[in-house]
Order: sequence, then C-alpha cells, then structure tokens
Amino acid sequence: MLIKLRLHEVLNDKVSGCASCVKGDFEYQLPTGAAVSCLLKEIGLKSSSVGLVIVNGRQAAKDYRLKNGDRVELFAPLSGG
Amino acid sequence: MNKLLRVNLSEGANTTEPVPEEYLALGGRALTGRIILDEVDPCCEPLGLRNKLVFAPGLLGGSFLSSSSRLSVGGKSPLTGGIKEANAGGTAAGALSKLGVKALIIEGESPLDYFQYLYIDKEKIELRPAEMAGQGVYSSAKLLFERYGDKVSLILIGPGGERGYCASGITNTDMQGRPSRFLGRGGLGAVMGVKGLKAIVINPDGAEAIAYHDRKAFQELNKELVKLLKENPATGEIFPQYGTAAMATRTNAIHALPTRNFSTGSFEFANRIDGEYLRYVITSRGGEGETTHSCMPGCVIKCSNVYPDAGGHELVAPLEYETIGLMGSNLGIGNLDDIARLNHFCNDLGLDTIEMGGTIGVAMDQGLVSFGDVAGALDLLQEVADDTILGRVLGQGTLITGKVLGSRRIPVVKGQSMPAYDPRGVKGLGVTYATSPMGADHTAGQTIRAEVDHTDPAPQPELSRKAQPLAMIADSLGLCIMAMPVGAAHLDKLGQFCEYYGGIKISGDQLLVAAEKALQVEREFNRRAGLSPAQDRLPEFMTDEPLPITGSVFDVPFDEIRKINEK
Repeated sequence: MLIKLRLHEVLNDKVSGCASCVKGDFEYQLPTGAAVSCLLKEIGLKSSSVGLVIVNGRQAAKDYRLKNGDRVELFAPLSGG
Repeated sequence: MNKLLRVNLSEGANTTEPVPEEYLALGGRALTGRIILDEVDPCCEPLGLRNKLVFAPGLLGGSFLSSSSRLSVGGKSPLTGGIKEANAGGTAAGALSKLGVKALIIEGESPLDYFQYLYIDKEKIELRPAEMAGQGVYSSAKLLFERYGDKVSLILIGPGGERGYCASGITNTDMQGRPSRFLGRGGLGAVMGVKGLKAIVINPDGAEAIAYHDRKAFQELNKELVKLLKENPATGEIFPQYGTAAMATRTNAIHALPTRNFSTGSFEFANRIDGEYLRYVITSRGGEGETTHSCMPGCVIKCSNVYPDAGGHELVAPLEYETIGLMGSNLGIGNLDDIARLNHFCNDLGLDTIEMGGTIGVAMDQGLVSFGDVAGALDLLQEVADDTILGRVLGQGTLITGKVLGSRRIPVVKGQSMPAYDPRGVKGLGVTYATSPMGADHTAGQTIRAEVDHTDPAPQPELSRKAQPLAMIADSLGLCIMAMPVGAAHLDKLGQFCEYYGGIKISGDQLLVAAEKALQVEREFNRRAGLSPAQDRLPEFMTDEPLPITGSVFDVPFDEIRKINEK
C-alpha cells in the first residue's frame, strides 16, 4: 500500500537512506496493514524519537494500522510553553 | 541570598531583614506564595493598599546552571481574585541574587502625585521620581540605561500598568537591554502601577561574587546537565532551532491551536506562523534577525529569537508561541510580521499578549472588528494606548471585555484568559486550567508532552495532577519549564544543585513533597480569599460547543477534576 508521509522539523534530518525524503509530503510503500511502528522501522526512526503521530488529521497511536492512502505526519517529542 | 528587602511606598521607607528560617529552603514561586499567605489579607482588594508584590529569584537564581535565573513575582491577582505568581527569564533575577536579595517585598501605596522608581545597589535602596512615567517600556528603559549604564537590570511597567489595566504585566530586561521578558500573567503590572511604582533599577556593580556551597561539585554536575540538555530532542534540537513556535505545528495537528476566539482548534494558515516558517523568515531576512537567542545568562537551550522586518531590522524579540497563538490564529491573522507588530505594541504598553490576544479575540467574535483585520486589531490597541473608554474596557482583559460586549464565548478560567492551547484538544491542560490556583495558565502543569490521546478524558486528571508539582519545582528553583523535559527526569540532580549552590540538602522526592506543600499554600490563600471548587471549571462553551473537525468537547468529568484539589 502507498501512504503519504510528512516529517516535521528535525525528523527530516534523522531519516537516512531515503533519497526521496525532502521537506514536505512524500509517498512511501509499505506492506498492507502495517502499523505506524512498522513505518518508523522502515524509515529508520527510533520509536522514542517520535512523540506525536497524526494520521489523516487525527492523533494516532504507534500501533495504529495504516490503510492505503493514509496521510501520516510525524513529530519529535516536545514539551514547553 | 541572605536578605529580604522591604519597601513601603506609603511611608517611603525601606528595611533590610534577615531571612526567617522557615523561608530558607524556599525560592521563586514557593517563596512568593508563602510570603503572600503570611503577610497579605486574602480578602484585600488586589488594586488596593493592602496587597503586596513580592519579587524572588529561584533557589538556583544567579547560578550558572543553564536556564535557572527566572524571576518570580507574586501578589493577589486583580484578574483571578486569588494568589498569583508570574515569572520570566531575563537578567533581574541574577542581579538581585548578586546583591544577596532573596526576596523584594513592595507594600503600601505611594501618597505622591507622581510615579517613582526604586534604585537598588549594594549600598543604597532609594525611591526616586520617575519622570519617564507615561512612556512605553522601550523608551523608559532607554532613559534608565542612559542614566545608569548598560550593566544594570530593569524591572518595568508600561502605561497599561500605570493606569491599573488588569491585562498588564511586569517586564524585565534581557542581556541586550530589551525590556521584553514579561512576567506577564495575572495583571500584576496593575498592582505595581496602583502602588505608584514605575520601575526598579538593580545595579549589581561591586557586589561580591556569589559564594557557592561547593562550586567544584556544582560545575561537575552542570557539565552532566548540559550534556543531557543537548542530547534531549526538545532541549537540544527543536527549541534551539525553532523556538517555542515549534508548538504551533503540533497544536494545529491535534486541533488545539486557538483559532478565531477558540472556535476551531486548527488554522488554515498555520504553516505561515509555525516554527519552521519562522525560522525560514528569520534566516532569509538576515540582518538583525536571530533564530536562536538566550534570554538569560548561561542558557544552552536558547529558545528565544530576534524577529526582523523585511529590511532586516529588529521588529520584536522574542516572538513566542503564546503570542503567535493568541495574537495570530486566535485573531485569524496568519502573518508573522503582523503578529510581531501587535506583539511590540503590547510590549510597549506593558500588556500581556496572552490576555490581550484573548481580549481582542472576544472583541472580534462580537463583531467589533473582523477576524483577520490587522489594522482593526492595531486600532483596538491604539484605543488602549489613548486611554479611551473602549481602551479602558479592553485593558481590563478578556472577561470584562466579553461581558461588556455581551459574549457567551469568553475563554477564561478564574477571570484569566486561556493560553494558546484549546482545552478541547489538550484536555489534560484543561484540567490544569480548571484546578491550578493560578487560573488558566499553561505553565502551571503542562500535559502536552505526554504520549497519550489528548482528547481521551480518562488519563487527563492524573496527568495534570502529576504535572502541577513539577511546574512548582521549576518555578521555585527559577528553572525554565523549557528545561523540564530533562529536569523532571532528574529531580535528584536538581536537588543536588540546590545543595552545591546554597547548601540546601534536598532529594528529588523531597522536592516533590515541598512542591505539594507550596501548592497547598496557594490553595489555602485562595480558600481564604473566597475561591471554591465552584470556580474550578472551564467556561460552558468549552463543554458544550464541539470543535468542528474532531467533534471534541471538554468532557473530563468535574467530579474527577475536583479530586485534584482535595488531595
């Protein structure tokens, strides 16, 4: 299945070996039914380096199973004010 | 820090007192709270003779630990009617610490028909006529620096505070002398204004170097902490690169970005006001712009910035997330230059951008001007500057403005405007807004860092209950909450810093116990002031009006919320 992926801020610099990774949306091929955690492994991001997952505009857990065409946004952990 | 300074404006007198033993292990917010409970009649009028203002550096104030020199100010708030503490980075806490001042207590009310400022150095404490009264904070600061040199630190109010506008904060100067580090919340600028005090000049020249209990051990531990701060993604990468504005992308994504008077939770122009775009604008304009900047000496996080105009000249510094949320998306304004201008205008008048963003948002919602109308928003601030009747209403803040204009969508808790997190999108913070003795305050117990579904009501009371004492620890040590992603995980180290600096032996667990006690002090003041669990609520539009995209309402049961203050 094909998903759309958007990495925010510093996560852009953490994904290696992904020549198509440019700032902004890009498409990514995954096995059908893969969870967000699987996507993180595929693109070489540690689970701890992602603090917030958004799928189709809604917050999602890392065990959320993705569907073809989903738009995924990933953010590094953050706190503050 | 071995003395309390007390300045009585009614008598024009001052005293220097030893620190009572029961205050020795208190600093910052815990100390201001305790002094206020001990000395201020809880039923007094906040803008009356009997209220006091207490300034206090944290327990680590003036040390070279990163991010540890925030200044607290406390008093009874004219907005909440309860106890208040506001704090900011800058240089004043360090300067007071160098002079050995653990707390500066301002009491009484000047009988004179002109404003004064307070001058403090190692030998003198004097009240002097403030001929800069009526001027904005930028020109007032310039005049005082010309008179006393650029090594002094200034604490100032603007015309808003002088007139007793309850949306007024107190500011202090950064390392470059900008009077823009605001102890903004709760209307404490008005408390300073009604006392007849325009400014405080702190001259640490000639003061003895601060004696550390164990400087070498402090230095070693500081190296460890700096390493941890640099390794942490928030404090080592995101804040230094994008500042607090990095929050905008996140709150927009989870529908918690206040938009058009807290109507939608997400904003179509969010990507023009977020951290990535802010960095892009500053970088591409160059000139005086800085994407990263320390607001206080020794800070390695450097989340502050200098925002330039198109010609590269400084427009405002800093431009922070709270202002971006409240004076940007909340007003339907999606342009950083416009937000920066509004920010600078508020700063100069000495107004809290959170309170004024909430206020103008309500005014726009009621049709006074349209959402997105930048000129209209500037006109409203001009009304405040001109002290017109409308300006006086707006200057009293969000609640008064909303009531005068007949709004039923007033985003306040205990009379204080909400910061830039819609509680229907971050419900844990909504619990903090409801239950904190401070009223709606994001720094009193931030929950957005937790990796939970922020719209699920179930885990939120517990998240807030745990976050509130951690906020108290930061505020009492003078430590910035930006350092708390690391600090909260290393409370024992924070305790060790207290020992190596001031000889106060305290463990991480004991810090938590002390923080709970300090919260109890604040709750006790509020109880005596007549506040009750009836005020521990969010406005009904937050519980009744769903956010359009997610359908989320604030649905954490109030029976659960109430338990936080019963413990």
